Amino acid sequence: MRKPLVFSLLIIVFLIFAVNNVLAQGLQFDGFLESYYSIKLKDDHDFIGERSRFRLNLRNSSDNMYMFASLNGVSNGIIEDDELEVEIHEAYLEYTQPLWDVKIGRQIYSWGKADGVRITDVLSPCDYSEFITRDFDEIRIPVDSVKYRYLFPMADLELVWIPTFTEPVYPGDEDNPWYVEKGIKVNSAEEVENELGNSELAARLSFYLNGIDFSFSTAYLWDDEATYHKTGATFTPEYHRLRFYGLDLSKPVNDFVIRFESAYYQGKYFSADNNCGLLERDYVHSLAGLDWYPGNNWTVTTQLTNKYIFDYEDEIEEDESQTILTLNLSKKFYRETLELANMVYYETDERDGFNRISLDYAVNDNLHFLTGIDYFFGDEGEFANYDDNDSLWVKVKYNF
Amino acid sequence: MRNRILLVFLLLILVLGTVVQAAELTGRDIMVKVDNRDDGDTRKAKMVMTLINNVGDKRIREVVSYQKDYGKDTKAIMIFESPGDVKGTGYLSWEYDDEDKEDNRWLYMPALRKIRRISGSSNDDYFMGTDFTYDDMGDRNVDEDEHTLLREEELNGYQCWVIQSIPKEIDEGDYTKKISWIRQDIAMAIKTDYYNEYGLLKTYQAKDIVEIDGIWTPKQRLMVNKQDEHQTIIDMTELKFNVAMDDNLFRTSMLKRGNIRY
Repeated sequence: MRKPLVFSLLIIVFLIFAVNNVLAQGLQFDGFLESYYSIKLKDDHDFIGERSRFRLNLRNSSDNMYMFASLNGVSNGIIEDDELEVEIHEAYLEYTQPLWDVKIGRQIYSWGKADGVRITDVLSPCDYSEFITRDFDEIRIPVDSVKYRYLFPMADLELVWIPTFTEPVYPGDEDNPWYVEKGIKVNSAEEVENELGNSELAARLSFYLNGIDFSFSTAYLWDDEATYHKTGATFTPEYHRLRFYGLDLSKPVNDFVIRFESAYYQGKYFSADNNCGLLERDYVHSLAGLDWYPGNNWTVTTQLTNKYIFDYEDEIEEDESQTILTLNLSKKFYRETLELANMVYYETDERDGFNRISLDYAVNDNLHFLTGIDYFFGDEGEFANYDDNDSLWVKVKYNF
Repeated sequence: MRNRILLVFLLLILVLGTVVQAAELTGRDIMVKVDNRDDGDTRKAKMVMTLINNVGDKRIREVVSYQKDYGKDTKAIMIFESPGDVKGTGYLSWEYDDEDKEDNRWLYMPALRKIRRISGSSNDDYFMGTDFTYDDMGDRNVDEDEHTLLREEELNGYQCWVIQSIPKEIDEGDYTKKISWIRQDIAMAIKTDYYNEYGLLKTYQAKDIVEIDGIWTPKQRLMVNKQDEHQTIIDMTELKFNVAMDDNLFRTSMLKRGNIRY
C-alpha cells in the first residue's frame, strides 16, 4: 500500500535527524536474533514453523527530542519460502516537554489491561498468519500515526490520529498450515483509500492513582475484521467503520490485582445467512481478570471474557454470546533464569481451546533457550480448527 | 576543698548523665535514628548489579534510579539499561511509611508496550533475580519489627550498636530475625545478618562509604546468600543528592517516554 506524502517526508526528516545525531553523539543500538522451529505432533510430523528473525533497534536523543527505529529481517521457511523480508518495523520521533509530548511515526499501540485478548486494544492490527502462536512483538503491526499526550495533575490524555489504514494479516492460502478453508469463493479485499476522510481518530484518558488505575477511551476507526459482501455466489471482503467506547481498570488488593475491561462497539457488520450476507449490530466485549502474586516467583492470571451481540437474529453466523476463559500459571526458578509457564484459552460454548506449555531458560544474560508444546483441543470452534497443528517447538534467542 | 568536691560532683553528674542517656537508648530509638538519617530529599544514581552464582558465573544488570521523598513516603522510578532482554523495562513505586497502607507498583514491559499494575504486598520477593528483596531495596517501616539493643562493639574500626530485629508478623518465607551493626557516628547499618527458619540466610555489607554533598552513603552494597552461595554486588555510580526532580517524573506516563531527562 502506498504511504502518503507526509510519512515519506517524516522518514526523510527522521534520517536527517538520525545522521546528524550519529555524528554529534553516537547512536545507541541493540536488538536480537532468534530462530524458531515447530514440528507437528500428529501425522507425518511436518514442520509447521520455521523462521528466523533479526531485529536492530536504533535510538538517540538530543535535548527534548528522542528518536527510535527498529528494522526487522524475517525469513520464514513455511509461509514465505525462505525469502528474506527486511522492513522498518517502528520508526518515530518523540518531542517531550514536562507536561506534554508528541510522538510521530510508525508505532505500536497497546491499550487496556487484558493479556492475550483484545478488548479495548483496538489501534494496532494483528498479524495472524500463524494464528496466536507468535509472540506479541511479532503479532502486533505498527501503524503510521501521531500521538499527543497531555499530563493533567491526576490523569494523562492521549490523542491519536492514524491517517492511513493498515490491514491485518491472515493466513494467506492453503500452503499455510494455519489457513482455514471457508468453503466459499472469496475475491480480494477492497482497499481503503489513503485520504483524509479515511483517517482513524482515538482518545484515551487514563488515571493512575493511589490504589487504582482506570481509563476511558473512544475511537472512530476501521474494523480490522473485514466482512464478506455476497454478490451471487462470490463474496468480497470489505472494511467498515466502527465507533468504539471503552473502559478499563485495575486495582490491587493484598496479593491480588483485579482487572476489568469493557468495550462497546457500534456499527459492526456481522456475516449472516441472508440476501446480502450481512447484518449490522452493536456488541459489547468485556473482561474480568484476577492476577495473584502469592510470592516465591509464582504468578497466576485468570480472565473471563464475553462477547455479546445486541438485537441478535438467528441469521447471524456468530453466536449471540461467546465466552472464553484464560488461565496462565508461571513460576520462575533459579534466580529467574528458568521460567515454566502454562497458558490456556478455553471457549466455554464450543468447548474447544488452546494450551501452551513453555519453558524459558536464560543460558546467560544474552542467550535464551525456549521450548514448549502447543496443544489445540475440541471438535468445533476457532481453536478446534487447528486440531491438527499440535506441535513441539524450540526457539533460541540472542539479545545484543 | 569545696571546689574539689564541686568538681567531683559535676563529673559524677556528667558520667551518670551519659550512662543514663546510653541506657535509655533502646533498639527502637537507634533504628529510628537510622531511619531518620539524612539521605537527601532526592537521589539519583546508576546502579550496576552483579549477580554471582555458586560457580562464579556473573550476570550484570544496569539500572538508572531516581527517588524522591514525600515526608516519610518515597516515590521511585527505575529504568533498566542492560542486559538486552530486559532493556527498557521500567519499575515505578510509591512506598508508604504507614504499614497499613499498601505500596503502589507498576511495571512497564517494552516488548508488550504495556504498563502493568502489580501487587504491592509481596515485599519479601526478590528483586529481578538479585539477593535483595523489595523490602531490602526500599524503606521498611521501623515498627514492623521488634528491635533490641544486644551490645556495642567495634566492626571494621567503627564503634557500632548491635541490634536484633524480629518481625512482628512472620509469614512463610520471611526472615525470622535480623542482626544489624549500626555505625554510631553516622547511624548507618554497615552489616546485617538475615536469618530464616534454617539459620543464617544472608549477610549484607555496606562498603566504600563516602560523604557526598554532606550525605553519607555506601558506594557499594553486597549481599551474600549463605544458603545457596549466591551473591549480589550493587555498585552505585553517578550519585547525586538533593537535585531538583519534578513530581511528574514519578508518573506511569514517564515509563513510556523514550528517555528520562532530569
